[in-house]
Amino acid sequence: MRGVGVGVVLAGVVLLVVAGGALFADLIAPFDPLEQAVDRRLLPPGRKHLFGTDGFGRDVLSRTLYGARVSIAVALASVLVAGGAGVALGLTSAYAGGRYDLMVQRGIDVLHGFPFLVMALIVVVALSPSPAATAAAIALSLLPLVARVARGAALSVVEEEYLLAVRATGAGAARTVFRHVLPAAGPPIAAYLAACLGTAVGAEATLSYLGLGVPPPYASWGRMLREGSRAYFDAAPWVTLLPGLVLCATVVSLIVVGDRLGRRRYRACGERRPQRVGRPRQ
Amino acid sequence: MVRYMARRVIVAIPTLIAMSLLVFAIMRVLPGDVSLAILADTPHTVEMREALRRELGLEEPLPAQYARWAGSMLDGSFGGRSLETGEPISAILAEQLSVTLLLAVYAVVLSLAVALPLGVAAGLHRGRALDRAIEGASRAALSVPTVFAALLVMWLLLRLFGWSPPIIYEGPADDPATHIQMVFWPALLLAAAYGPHLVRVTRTRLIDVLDSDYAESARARGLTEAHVVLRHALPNALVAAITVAGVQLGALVSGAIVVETVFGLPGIGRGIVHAALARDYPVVQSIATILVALVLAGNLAVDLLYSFLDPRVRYDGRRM
Repeated sequence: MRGVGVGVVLAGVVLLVVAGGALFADLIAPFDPLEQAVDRRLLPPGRKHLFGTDGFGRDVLSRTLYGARVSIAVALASVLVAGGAGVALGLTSAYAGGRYDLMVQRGIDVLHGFPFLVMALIVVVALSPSPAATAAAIALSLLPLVARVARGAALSVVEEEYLLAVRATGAGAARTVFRHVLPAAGPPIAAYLAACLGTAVGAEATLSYLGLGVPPPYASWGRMLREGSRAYFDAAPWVTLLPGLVLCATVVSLIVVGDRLGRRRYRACGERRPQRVGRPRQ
Repeated sequence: MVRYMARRVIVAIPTLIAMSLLVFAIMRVLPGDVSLAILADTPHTVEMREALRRELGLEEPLPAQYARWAGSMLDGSFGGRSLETGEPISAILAEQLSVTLLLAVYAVVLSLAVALPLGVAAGLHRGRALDRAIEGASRAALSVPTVFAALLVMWLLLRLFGWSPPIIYEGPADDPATHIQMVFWPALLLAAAYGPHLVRVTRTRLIDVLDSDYAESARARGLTEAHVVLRHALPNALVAAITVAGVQLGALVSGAIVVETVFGLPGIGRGIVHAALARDYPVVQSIATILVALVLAGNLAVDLLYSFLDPRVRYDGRRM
């Protein structure tokens, strides 16, 4: 564990617990997340209901566990889409250069000019709320950020002489980019994508809190924040704050791990430690 | 200088057009069409739908629709009326925009006032406990999702002081006490999300200058460390902080959407969320475009200020 801080270990544990909870929600969850019961409305956290119950008598812990599935699935989908498209755009534009690079960059500038939530909002409105629309909205907001990081990482590689050697062996552009540029530019991009996952989880929660994310039958974390804080924030704060704490711990942990990944890879390459990637702008 | 400024402004225009085209295009991706989405929940006849389509101008070809909408953005009618209330969008903007602009100004001033001294302190004590504490605090402030922070603050205020925000918003001139009560916490939360970037860049730039050859030569000439910090390091750190403040304006808008909704501030951020929930397409489309244009204008203003403060960028075209 040499050189790994307490914070990173803690973040890893949090992520393992959350991922485990999401994966095995149906085994772990003590109650059905949708089962309502009038006689146990708004119970405070106790032995039977660790996180208490909400206004419909639903078990908040069970809802948080099932909510993790929705939140993480939406975040993963959006990062996969934004990562795939962003890396493809960033790498090809760094490699090709010239007019193509310029055009891609202008396009990315235009996307980047949109505040994160404004872009997400118009996409959700246009597609009408659903988990897929939420993921698409977040992906489109993340795309310009990923593309820029990927382009930057690839730019430092395309000047390398070994690429000339690769080209001399007759490798085509696609092979050169994906077999030789990508592995070298990959680590910083991967670290950035981990931090993006944190942003995506936060963005899903924000959109769902605003009522524009994942619609009712799904209990995502943001949805729980919305329901809990509107109806009985004062009488039963646990309905809002406990899922909120889990959300917060997950986002912070993802950012800490992403940060750590970014630094470790560079150290292994014997390069100068880069500036922290930090959290993508939200 | 004038030529540089003119060039920057001219370059911004196609960007703005591209952005408005993108907003327009996304809003038209709707499966089916807008009229169906609007009438989805109400019983309606084919004639009603036809009438609505005509009213919204959906019969026209897309380029004509875009031209009409873009024209209305320029002549001040901003896309006509709200579908929900029939209120002109220009009136909605007039009512809500000032709230958000004020909030943004408070947040920027607050974060500059806190972040600059913190960044300088961290830079001067680099590697020591104070530096690490400031770094830790700014990373924490940066990582916590604003929604959760806002809800937590709201709950703490409610629990500790039995306080919840006033329901009716008052402008700063009408009722300063209510105004401050209403905007203080949202502005603070926005500043907490916005300030950490400024702390970091101030610290980094300060250290860069303190380590530079010209700072060393100033020391060699017998100038005091205080002189080096005040005359060389601080101005550079300031310029860097202003640039980052410009780059992060978009984050400020996103943050405003969240805190306005949580605290019930009747600004444009809450307005666009409300319109989105009501499927009030014209309002969402116009407000989104205005917000994007404001961010672009803010970036441009910061760019110009930057070129004024640092003459090098005007000549080598580095930032074009």
